[in-house]
Amino acid sequence: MKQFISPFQLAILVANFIFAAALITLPQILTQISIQNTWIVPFLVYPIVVVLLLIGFGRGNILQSSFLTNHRSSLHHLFYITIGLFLVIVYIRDLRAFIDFTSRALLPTTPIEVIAILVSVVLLYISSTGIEVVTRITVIQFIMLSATILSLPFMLLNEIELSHIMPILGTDTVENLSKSSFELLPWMGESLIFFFLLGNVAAKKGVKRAIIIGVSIGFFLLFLLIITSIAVLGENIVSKSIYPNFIMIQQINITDFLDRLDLIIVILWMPVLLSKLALTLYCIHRAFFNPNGGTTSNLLMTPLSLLLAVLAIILFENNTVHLEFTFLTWTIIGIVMEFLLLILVLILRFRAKATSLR
Amino acid sequence: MVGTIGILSILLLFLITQHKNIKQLKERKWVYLFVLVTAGTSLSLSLPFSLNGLTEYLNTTVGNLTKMVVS
Repeated sequence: MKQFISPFQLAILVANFIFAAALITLPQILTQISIQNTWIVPFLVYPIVVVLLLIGFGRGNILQSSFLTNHRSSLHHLFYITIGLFLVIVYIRDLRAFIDFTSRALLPTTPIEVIAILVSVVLLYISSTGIEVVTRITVIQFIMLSATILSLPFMLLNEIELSHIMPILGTDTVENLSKSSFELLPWMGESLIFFFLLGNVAAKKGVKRAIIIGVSIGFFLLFLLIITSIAVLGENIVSKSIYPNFIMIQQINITDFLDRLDLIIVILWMPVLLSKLALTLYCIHRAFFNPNGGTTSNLLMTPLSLLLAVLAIILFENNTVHLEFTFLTWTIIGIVMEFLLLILVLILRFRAKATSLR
Repeated sequence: MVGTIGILSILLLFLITQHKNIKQLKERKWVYLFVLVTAGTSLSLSLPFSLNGLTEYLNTTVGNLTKMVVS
């Protein structure tokens, strides 16, 4: 039986998808480019992403009906293959980021291969249960992490320096903000997974609103993290540290007793990223082997998850190569693939509209 | 070496426990092919070659486009 999710769950999935991995290292490169004005960047990218998604979705529910039907055209298959490849890159990039973070911050003496295998087995266990379970786990964990992030500015009130976030207007401010927006766009464009999940949303009402709410939540939380980390650490430290948000939460010092809250917050964040990776693995499996989303065998998922784990290790010799890929190569690949996907979605919608008019 | 042994062990365990289910599948050839590819790729974890060259090539070609925009 095909599994379905509600528009609220779809909104949380989208918010989690654009937020969970972007918070690891992205603030560093953004701050390097647009220094203390970086917190303005999410406001510049947000309207672009929302408009692109609304253009793709269009009026009515024609696109959703097109994904809900079991009749698949060759264009549908092309869409699934393209989004499958896109998600493979996202999965490998995020898994390696997670492994590197765990290896550096939590388990420095454990070989990264062992971390990769253990994480892959956990992801396999979650993904093979289907989208409903992945969604429920995501909703629970994401709400807990969101509440924690919303309370961060209050927990760091004694460390915040408002002069760190005062916007500086210079001759190159607009240029730098545009460059940062260019870096942020492909990360936030990952919200295109929304189109892939449309086939699992039975409700016809509130789908468009769900996507706007999901993207808004993701952007707001990222904005909050960027502005808090710059306000606490200053642009100099944020632009030089690989994990600026981790350093920022290490500054929480409510009393002498509560000075290691960073570990608790990392423990809250880890399941959120694991949920994103589990959703990505589920979608990769579905895109390549089960596009209809019905109940078929999950046997291919075991070798697939292990293969992707091996690729996440052998594709990057060290953390520097991975960061270079994340900051430079992914930006171009992401933008190109996202626009290709958007074009495919538009063609799918126009063809579905033409078929319904006949 | 630890990674290769771990992955090969999981794949072996998978084949032993799911042998009957795989046999009933239409796409069993795909499952065996994927297991073989994964096992083969996992060997590169303990051998002195990797796919890092591909990533570095992408970083210098595609990555340079981003560098041109950003810097």
